[in-house]
Amino acid sequence: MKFLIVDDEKDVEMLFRQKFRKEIKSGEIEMVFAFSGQEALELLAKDKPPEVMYVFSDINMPGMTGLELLDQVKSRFPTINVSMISAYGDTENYNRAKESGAKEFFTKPIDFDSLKEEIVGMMKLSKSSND
Amino acid sequence: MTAHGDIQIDSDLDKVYDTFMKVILMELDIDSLKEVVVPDINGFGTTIDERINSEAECRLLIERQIKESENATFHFDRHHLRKRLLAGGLAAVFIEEGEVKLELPDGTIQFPIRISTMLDKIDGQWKVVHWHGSTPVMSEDDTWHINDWKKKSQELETKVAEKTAELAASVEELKATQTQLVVQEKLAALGQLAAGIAHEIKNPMNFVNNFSELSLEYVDEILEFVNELPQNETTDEIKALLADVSENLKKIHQHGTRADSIVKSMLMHSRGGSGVLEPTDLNELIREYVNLAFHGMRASKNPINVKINYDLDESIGSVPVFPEDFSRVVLNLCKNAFDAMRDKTGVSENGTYLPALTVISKNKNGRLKIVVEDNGPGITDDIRKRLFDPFFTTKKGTEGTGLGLSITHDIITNHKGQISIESELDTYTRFIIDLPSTNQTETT
Repeated sequence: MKFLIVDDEKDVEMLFRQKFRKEIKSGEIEMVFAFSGQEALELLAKDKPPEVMYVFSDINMPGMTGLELLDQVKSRFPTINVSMISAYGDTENYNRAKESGAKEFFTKPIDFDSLKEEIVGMMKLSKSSND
Repeated sequence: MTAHGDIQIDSDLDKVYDTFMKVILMELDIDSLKEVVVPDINGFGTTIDERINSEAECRLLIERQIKESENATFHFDRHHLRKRLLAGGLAAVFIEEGEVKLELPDGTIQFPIRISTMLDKIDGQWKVVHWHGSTPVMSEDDTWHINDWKKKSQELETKVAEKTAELAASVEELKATQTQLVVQEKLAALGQLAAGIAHEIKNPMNFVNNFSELSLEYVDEILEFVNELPQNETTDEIKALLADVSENLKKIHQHGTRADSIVKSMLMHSRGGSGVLEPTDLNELIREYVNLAFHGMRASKNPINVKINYDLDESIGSVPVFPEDFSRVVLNLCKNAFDAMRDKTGVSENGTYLPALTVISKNKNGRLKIVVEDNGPGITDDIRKRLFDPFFTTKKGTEGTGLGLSITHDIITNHKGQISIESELDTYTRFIIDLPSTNQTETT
């Protein structure tokens, strides 16, 4: 199962790869990274239908913001789940994200346990629907 | 001339004079004027502009007088009348003194007046040809009004001095307000700066915490692998080193977490005005959060025994506040009080010291007063002045961020209130919050 993580901080890739080292090594999940909203959209458009099933995106990024990316993904690839990860845990961002169809809203610093739960839950869901 | 004729003439004269006086004193209708004065009558009133040279001008003067006396009660107390016939009975002079009293809605004006009136017998008819009214200057033995002038300038000087004192007082007040504003401005600017820095630091701090946590997990995994190897000196050495690395990583994580909590406190500053004013049972909120602070302290590493006294005014009821922010204020003040009292228990020798926290709320004249008082070591004036400055702390080492009271100050200001401190060394420290009871704070 393929996940896309979008964040302008490049170290996020290393962090996620190490945090999910076992799951990635075992091939349970695959992770791809984009460092801007634009890059994320290009990546998603490359494969038809897109291989990525779930996008986790930061909100505060230069250029396209995470919320703009959310709108774009929801209109162009409605089957892909999108969750937000933001340092700004304010209600305004939260409501905006939820209204635009975000699945979950994670705040930074990321609680990797709850993130892992979300990913595992998603994998189970896709397995049972595939069975 | 017969005696009878003399009497006739005299009574006619008196009648004309009396009519004239009654017209100018507004007792008779103004139309009677023309019957008793010559068309080119000349007269002087008591003010500089009252110079009359015709009947028409005289009429205007009286009309003005009538207008000025609207809404007022006019009295003229006539006394001391003297009369003298001149020119073999063809001219007469009347000299009269009286007292004018004008009752206005906002006070009474009273002054003496002297009037001399000259009448001429023209074609057998007595007519007023001239009159002169004057008001004496309120001064005696003062022909040239010198004393009067001195008195008046002295009065003026006194008034100027009074006004100057008033102005000086206002200037002082303005200066005090300005100082207060500068302090608030400084605190707000520092708060914004702190919040700006906090945002910048937050992300790198997250990486520090996340990577240290991750590395710690890896070290544990490595240890597991090493334990699977045949054990010898080298593996022991590796394990000892890994244990050290693990300790170091824990330290990195621990201090990173500490920095993160400072950053979070700093971010509280930028939250000003967010949230919604909610009608809140203030006493209930106070009780709840004092209790929470107390149990938090009891569960901490250094609990102390504290007696908590409440004196809550139940007439306060529901008050619009930002509940989340306000509960933070209560928590901060209680935490501060507990820390202060803990310091005192540390130095108190024979254990007779009983820490006590007193929480008071009062509703008075549309203002709410909330007092949080501890019987701890008290604070010096030097410290008191800096207590609301961001990053100012008296707590040792890693215990305080120096932001608690500065945030508290911000929150109270946001509620359009004020917070002040009273303290006596070794006796008490008292935080006093003053709030409008109908809070008009705008939400942003």
